[in-house]
Amino acid sequence: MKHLLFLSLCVLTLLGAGCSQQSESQEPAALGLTSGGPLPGFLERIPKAPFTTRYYARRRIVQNQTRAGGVPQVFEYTERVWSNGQGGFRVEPEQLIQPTLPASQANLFLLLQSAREGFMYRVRDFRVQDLRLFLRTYQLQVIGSHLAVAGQACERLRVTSAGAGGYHELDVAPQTGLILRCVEFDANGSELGRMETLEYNATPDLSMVSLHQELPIQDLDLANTQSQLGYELRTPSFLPSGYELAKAERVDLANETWARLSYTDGAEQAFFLHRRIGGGLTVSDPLAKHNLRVFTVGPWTMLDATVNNHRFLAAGRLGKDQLQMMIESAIP
Amino acid sequence: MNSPCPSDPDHFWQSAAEVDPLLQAHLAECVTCRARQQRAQLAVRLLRALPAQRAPKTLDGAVVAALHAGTRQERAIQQVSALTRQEVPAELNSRVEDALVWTAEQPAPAELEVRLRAELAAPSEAMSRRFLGRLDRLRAPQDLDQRLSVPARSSSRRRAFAFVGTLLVVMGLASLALQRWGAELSSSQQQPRVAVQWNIEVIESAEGLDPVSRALIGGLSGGASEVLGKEKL
Repeated sequence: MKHLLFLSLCVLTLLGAGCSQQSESQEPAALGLTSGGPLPGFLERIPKAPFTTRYYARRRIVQNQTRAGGVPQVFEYTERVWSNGQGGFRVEPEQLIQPTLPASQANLFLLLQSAREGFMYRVRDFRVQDLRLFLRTYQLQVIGSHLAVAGQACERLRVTSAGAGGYHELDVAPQTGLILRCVEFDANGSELGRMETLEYNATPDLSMVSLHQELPIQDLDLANTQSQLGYELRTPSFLPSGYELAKAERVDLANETWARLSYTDGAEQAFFLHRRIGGGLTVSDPLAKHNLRVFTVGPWTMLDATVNNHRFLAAGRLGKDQLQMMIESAIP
Repeated sequence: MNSPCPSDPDHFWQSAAEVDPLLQAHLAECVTCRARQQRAQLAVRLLRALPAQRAPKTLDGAVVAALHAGTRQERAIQQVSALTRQEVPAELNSRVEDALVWTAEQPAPAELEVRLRAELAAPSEAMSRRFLGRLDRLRAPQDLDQRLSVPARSSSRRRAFAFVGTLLVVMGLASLALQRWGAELSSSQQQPRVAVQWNIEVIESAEGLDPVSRALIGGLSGGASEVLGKEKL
């Protein structure tokens, strides 16, 4: 009988432990800084550093990917970056190193990279997009200090996502908060990719640099999308774990009006775009067309869905199922 | 800088020989326009380097059809307007009626009524019963049977222990069931509300995407979508 009583107490104790663990995991205090010390002071500077620091850098970008059939493939190029410290920037692709392509294709790649420099600068690299969310989603560990990257003193952080098995190592210049080197590893410690600064200049001459020109974008008032878009925006009610809405915009792309919603888990970004492509059928009507096009490259997935006279795009460093659920949750 | 930037971007596509002297003077002093012109010229070189493609033989027919699209629409409208309304066969009506009558005549089983009434009378009790009923029934160990076969020396203290122990186990299991129910409920609320049967098409190359999708995934992947897999071509 004593065994029975002991068992009962164990059950209750375990249930209690389960509840408290769940509630504690949402506390910012459970950050997991192994040193147990306070957060590094430069952490707050990281999100805005690319836009508030005047600098020039030459950088090398490498992605190690595996093609279908397990064939390893390396994607490597260099680029030059300028920032005026007041929000203006320029990214100029320099040389495609791997894979080896015919000259015309390599030139086309450089041209396209130049055309999407805004994305390259804001989205491509692992960045702290939103510090509050970042601290909730990721665990931080200071694993090195007084390291040098392109002649700049850096602190090394290891950033681990609560959900994924891999991790990132960031070398951050504490004075500016700029990430000068970022290496991504999988759960086994194999390198998946890196961005590293090869040259750095804190006082660049920007007189000959043509800064990035923004696309026509307006902030979207989610309470009144009809007047801005000409149709009612469908927003996803399902979001991948840890993600929150960061921005809602109206963008005009290739002569088409789109609503673009950006979501972030603090570092990674996912995009959801919606556009009405004609009158007549609405998403509420019985489904006449429901086509889903899926494109995957490395860890990134792009879904292009047509539902009656509406188009939805969802893209991010997420699996197909999660993006598909986002789209489906936007359909009534 | 004296001269204003040209508003028409077409100027940048012109070759060096074609460029207006005024524009040339402007390019010499405007960094932004010079960068735009260099980009445009790089694009021109790339486009010229592309192999010429023959137009498909069906293009002629398509052009003629497109030029007469208005006439075609009018013909289609005339044809559709001339269609007469088709009556539904009488046999179909009678079959639908039969099916509806049969459905309406089927009463719900009495058992369903009883269960529904019980559930409505005490919903929380019914829910707990349902979830507890899902738990796997465990078999008692054999040595328990042996112990029970020996006459038990009952005492009030043992009975009290037994009662408290049983109560705690029941509370624990009920709590577990409710927690599980809560988790299921919250996850079901997160799920998409529709189960769409998609026609799924897997795209192998970024070239199969439309310009907006292609630009989006190209930007997200840092250009990887444009390059990876190309070297095999």
